Amino acid sequence: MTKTHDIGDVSNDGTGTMRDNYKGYLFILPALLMLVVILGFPALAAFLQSFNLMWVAKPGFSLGAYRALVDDAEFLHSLFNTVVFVVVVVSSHLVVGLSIALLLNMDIKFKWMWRVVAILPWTMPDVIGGLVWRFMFDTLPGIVNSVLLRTHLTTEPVDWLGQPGLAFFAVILAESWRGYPYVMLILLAGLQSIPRQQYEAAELDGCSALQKFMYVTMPNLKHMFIISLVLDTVWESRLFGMVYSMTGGGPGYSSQILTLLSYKQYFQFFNVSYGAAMAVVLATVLFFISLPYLRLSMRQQI
Amino acid sequence: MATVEIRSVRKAYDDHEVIHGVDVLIPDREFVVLVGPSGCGKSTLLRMIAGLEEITSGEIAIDGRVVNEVRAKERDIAMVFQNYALYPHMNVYKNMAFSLRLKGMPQAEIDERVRQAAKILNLSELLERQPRQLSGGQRQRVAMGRAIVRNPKVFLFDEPLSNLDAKLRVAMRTEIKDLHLRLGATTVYVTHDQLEAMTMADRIVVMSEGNVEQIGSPLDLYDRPDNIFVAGFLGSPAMNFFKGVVGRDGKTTHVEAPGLRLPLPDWPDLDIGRPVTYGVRPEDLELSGAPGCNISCRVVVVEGTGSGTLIVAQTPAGNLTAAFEGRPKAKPGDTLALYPTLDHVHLFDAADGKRLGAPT
Ligand SMILES: Nc1ncnc2c1ncn2[C@@H]1O[C@H](COP(=O)(O)OP(=O)(O)OP(=O)(O)O)[C@@H](O)[C@H]1O
Ligand SMILES: [Mg+2]
Repeated sequence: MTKTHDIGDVSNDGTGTMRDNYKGYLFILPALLMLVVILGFPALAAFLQSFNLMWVAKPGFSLGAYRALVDDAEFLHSLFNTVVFVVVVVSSHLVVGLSIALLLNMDIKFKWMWRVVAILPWTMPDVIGGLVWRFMFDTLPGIVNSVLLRTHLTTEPVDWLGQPGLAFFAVILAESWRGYPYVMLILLAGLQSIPRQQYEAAELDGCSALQKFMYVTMPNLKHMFIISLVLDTVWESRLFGMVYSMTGGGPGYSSQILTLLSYKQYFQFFNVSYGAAMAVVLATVLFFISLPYLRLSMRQQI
Repeated sequence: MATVEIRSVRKAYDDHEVIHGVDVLIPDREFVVLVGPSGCGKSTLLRMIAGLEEITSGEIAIDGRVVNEVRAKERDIAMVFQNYALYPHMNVYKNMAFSLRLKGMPQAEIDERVRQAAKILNLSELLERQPRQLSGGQRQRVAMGRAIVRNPKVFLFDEPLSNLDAKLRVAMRTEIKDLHLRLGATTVYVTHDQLEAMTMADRIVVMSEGNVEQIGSPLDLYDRPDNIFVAGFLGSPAMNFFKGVVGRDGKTTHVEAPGLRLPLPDWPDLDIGRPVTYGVRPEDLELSGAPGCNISCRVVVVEGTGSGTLIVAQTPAGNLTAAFEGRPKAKPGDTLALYPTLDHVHLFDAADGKRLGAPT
């Protein structure tokens, strides 16, 4: 924590004069404009479209799109899938990410090499990742089936992506793999910022390894945990490419998630306001999920 | 309460040895200060006593029991760290109670011990505070409280005051010393501040580059430093040194430095022509004395400290510093005759820096 001191009338603690404040805003104006164009405009457009006010044949305020959502079995199923998908994937990211972060934080040989290896899944674009997993889960030449057959765990190749439950499971597995490094990096940064002396004090106070984890590691990691939980939840809720290229939401709509459905409605069926309404629902939910993160960053405790 | 015996202890990181065989015996209840310049191995030695660092060779025994293979948490030692290392998510009470809770001590006893320690350390009002809501000095006291409640065999301190401002440092110095007098616990205290060492220690261990240079009471070391290193390290401003050779002029011996004749008292067994280093502390230089027994110099800087005056002066053999009580009249450019207090003059062998006998 740093304190700022007033030296003469130079002030940098946020209580500067009006003129100083204007100058500050001038500096961020270009970036702000970019944000408005790139983020603000599409968001506003989607919002207006969902109420049938923009880029539609007969503009006029209507809640029709939202009403239809409630009765749409495919939408409800996709919503359910999204929730299951996000909960399972994010939990596994936290568990796997924390475990690997703990390993990488230990005194091991070739540390940098292991770190690079651990980050690799994240360097793969999600569409490509989806394709790779699709090949791996393939019925005949796929590596998953060939391993299963060789080890005699099955006698017949499993049609992973062709059966409703299995396809969804396969997607969850694939994304659990692809996305953990992000969480791991945040948690590793958190681990590395814990002062060594706290562990030493705990050691002298009589802590076992497990107790050090409980009383030193976990409490110190709390903020990083919240941050990765929120960011990863938002990230995974918005996921598209992985599922799109792996199953396309199928078979049927068994592995479909909201982003995919919204995309289909908007760009394939041209149900503009319907697709936009889904996006708005998703964005609203995500906004509330990210509130704890926003509050943490406002308090500058990151 | 316990003794600590350090016997021929060495420490190497990989192939690089940083402690080269150290022997220190610390009797029960003694307050020992390890002092030395940065990087000399004080912390490493302390951490080996604590069990946070492995002992490469040699032995450390606490209360007569060799602890080389005993884990830190079983050594019954408490340590106060330079950055306090409080648990940031626990309030003051919980920080102090933590080790007792781990031991499974009954709640009533924990409560009594924590409140007792809080009273001693003036923390009673702050028990509910979080560490981040405390000032540096208060955190420091919590760190000490955490050590006190355990009633350990040995207290270890690693530069506990170096993050505090000068005034608080002096106050805490007294508090720690006072605490030691009350609890009487064996204490090993690390600092690089010679003044802290001088004021707090029963005995000082002066270290340099992984070796012990000298062990003794503060005044012993101050008056009879074993070598140039100890002589120069203790005392502020530091002792003045001049290199020269022993000379004789009629009946009196002196040290002949380049362009400068330095007076000596009667000194037995001193070979004429022997290369030596002549040492005299700033406060052992006077403005008057026996005729001829002076160092003539030219004043460069006069620094008033309020209670006294420091004069830095130039001689042909290098600058010297003299410290006076009061405010002698001298200004830059003046020529001054300074008279060393002869029986406080130190001589060291020029080759190995060892102290040479003593004047009679
Ligand atoms: N983990 C380590 N690995 C390698 N060398 C180390 C390690 N820890 C300390 N050293 C080395 O050991 C020597 C002694 O270090 P130590 O920390 O004991 O010094 P110190 O006397 O406490 O210094 P300071 O006053 O700066 O704290 C130093 O040269 C240091 O570089
Ligand atoms: Mg140190």
